[in-house]
Amino acid sequence: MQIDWLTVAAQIVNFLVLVWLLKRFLYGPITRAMERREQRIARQLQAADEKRQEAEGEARAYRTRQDEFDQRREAMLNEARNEAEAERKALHQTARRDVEQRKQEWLRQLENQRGEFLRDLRQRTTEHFYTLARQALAELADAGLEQQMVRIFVGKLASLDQDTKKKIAVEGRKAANVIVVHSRFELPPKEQNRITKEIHDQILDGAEVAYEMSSGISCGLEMKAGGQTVSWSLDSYFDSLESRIEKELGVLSPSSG
Amino acid sequence: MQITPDQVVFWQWGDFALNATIVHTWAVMALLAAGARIITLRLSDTEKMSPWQNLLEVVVVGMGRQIRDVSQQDPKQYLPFIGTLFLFIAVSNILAVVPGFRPPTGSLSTTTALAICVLVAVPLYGIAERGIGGYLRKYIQPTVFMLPFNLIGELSRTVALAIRLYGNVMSGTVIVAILIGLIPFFFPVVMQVLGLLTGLIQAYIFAILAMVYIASATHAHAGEDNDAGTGHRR
Repeated sequence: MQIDWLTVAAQIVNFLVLVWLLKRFLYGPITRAMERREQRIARQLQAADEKRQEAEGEARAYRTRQDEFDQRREAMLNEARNEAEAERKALHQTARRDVEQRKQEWLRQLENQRGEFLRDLRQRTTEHFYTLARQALAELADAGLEQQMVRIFVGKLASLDQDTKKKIAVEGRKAANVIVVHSRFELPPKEQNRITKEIHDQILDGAEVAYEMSSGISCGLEMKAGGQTVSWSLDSYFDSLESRIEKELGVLSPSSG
Repeated sequence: MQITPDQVVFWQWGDFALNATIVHTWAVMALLAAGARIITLRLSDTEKMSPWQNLLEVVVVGMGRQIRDVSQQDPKQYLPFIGTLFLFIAVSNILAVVPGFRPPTGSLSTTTALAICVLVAVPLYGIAERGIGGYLRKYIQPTVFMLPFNLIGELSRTVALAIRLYGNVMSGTVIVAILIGLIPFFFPVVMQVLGLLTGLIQAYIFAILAMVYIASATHAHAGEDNDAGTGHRR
C-alpha cells in the first residue's frame, strides 16, 4: 500500500478537470433543458389557466347576458301583458259604452216610437170613438153626440158656483165680452145657440160667444174667457186608456226588465 | 501480482511516471465527457426526448434528489462536485469488468486525491456558506478543548474515506485475481457481478459521505449536531 504523490496530484487535477467537463457538458445543459421544459410546461399551464379563466369569464358574461336577456324579455312580456290587459279593458269599456249608448239610443227611439204610437193611437182612438159614439148614440138613443156633449157641458155650466161664474164674467168683460168655445168638430148652430143661451143666462148676459175648432181637444168642449176656463171632455177616459196601454207596452218593453 | 494500478507504468519521464491509474482515469474522463457531450449536443426541452437524454436526466435528477435529501438545500451548487464524484467512481468500478481495465479507484493515490478534494471542498463550501468566522467556530464547539479532537476527526474521516474506497475496490480486484487462480471460469464471474454491486454501493457511499461532510459544514446548527456522529459512524 503506497501513495504516489505525483499521481495523487495528477488525479486531483484530473478530477477537477472532470468536474469542469461534466459541469460544462452534462449538468449545465441537462439542467437548463429541464428548466426550459419546466418553464415551457409552466407557460403552457399558465396559458391554459388564462384560457380557462377567459372561458370562465366569457361564460360568466354570457350567463349575465342571458339573465339580462331573460329579465328584459320577462319585463317586455309583462309590459305587453299589461298593455294587452289595459287595451282589453279599454276596448271592453268602449264596447260597453257603445253598447250602452246604442241601448240608450234604442231605448230613446223606442220611447219616441212608443210616444208617437200612443199619440197616434190616442188620436185614432178618439176619432174612432167619436165615430162609434156618434153612430151608437144615433142608433141606440136616437141622439147626436154633439147634442149630448152640449147637454153635459150646459149642465156643468149650470152647476158652477157663483164665485166661479163671477170670475168668468169678469174675465169675459176684460176680453171685450168675448167668450170662446172650442171643440174638435164644428158644432151645429142649434147646439151653438143652446150654449150661447146658457152662457148668457148663467154667466154673462150679452157676451159674444165665438166657436172655434181645435185639434187640441179630443172629444169635448172648452170655454175660455180670459184666463178662466171651463171644460168637459173625454180626455180623462182617453188618459186612462192610454196609461193602461202604456202599462201593457211597458211589460213588453225590454227597458222594464 | 500488482495490487495497485500505480505500479503499471506506461511511460516514465524523470520522477513522473505515466501509470495505469492516470491513463485509465483519462479513459473514464473521456468516456464520461464525450458521452455527455454527444448526448447533450441535441437536447430536447419538449416531452419527446432520446432515451439517452432520458437516462442522463434520470441520473442528474436522482443525484440532485439525493443531495437535497442529505443537505436539505438546493442541490444546484453541490451537483457538479458530488455528482462527478459519484459518476467517476461508479463508472470506474463498473468498467472493472472490462478485461485489461484497472479501475483507478483501486489506487490509493486516486482515492487519496478524491479524499483530499473532499477535505478541501468541505471548508470551501462551509466558508462560502457561513463565512470564515462562522466556519472556524465549528472547530471550537462545544468548547475550545475540543479543537484537537475536531481536527483529528476531520483528518481521520478523510483518511477513512480514502482507505474505504481503495480497500473495497482493490480487494474486489485482488479477490477476482486470486479466484481465477483457484477456481477459474465460474466463481470469478460471480465475484465480478458482486464487484459491480459493491462498486456502485461504494460510489454511492463516497458521494453521500462527501455530501454529509459538506452539509455539516454548511448547516449552521443542525449540521453541528450531526457532525461528529455521522462522520465516525459511517
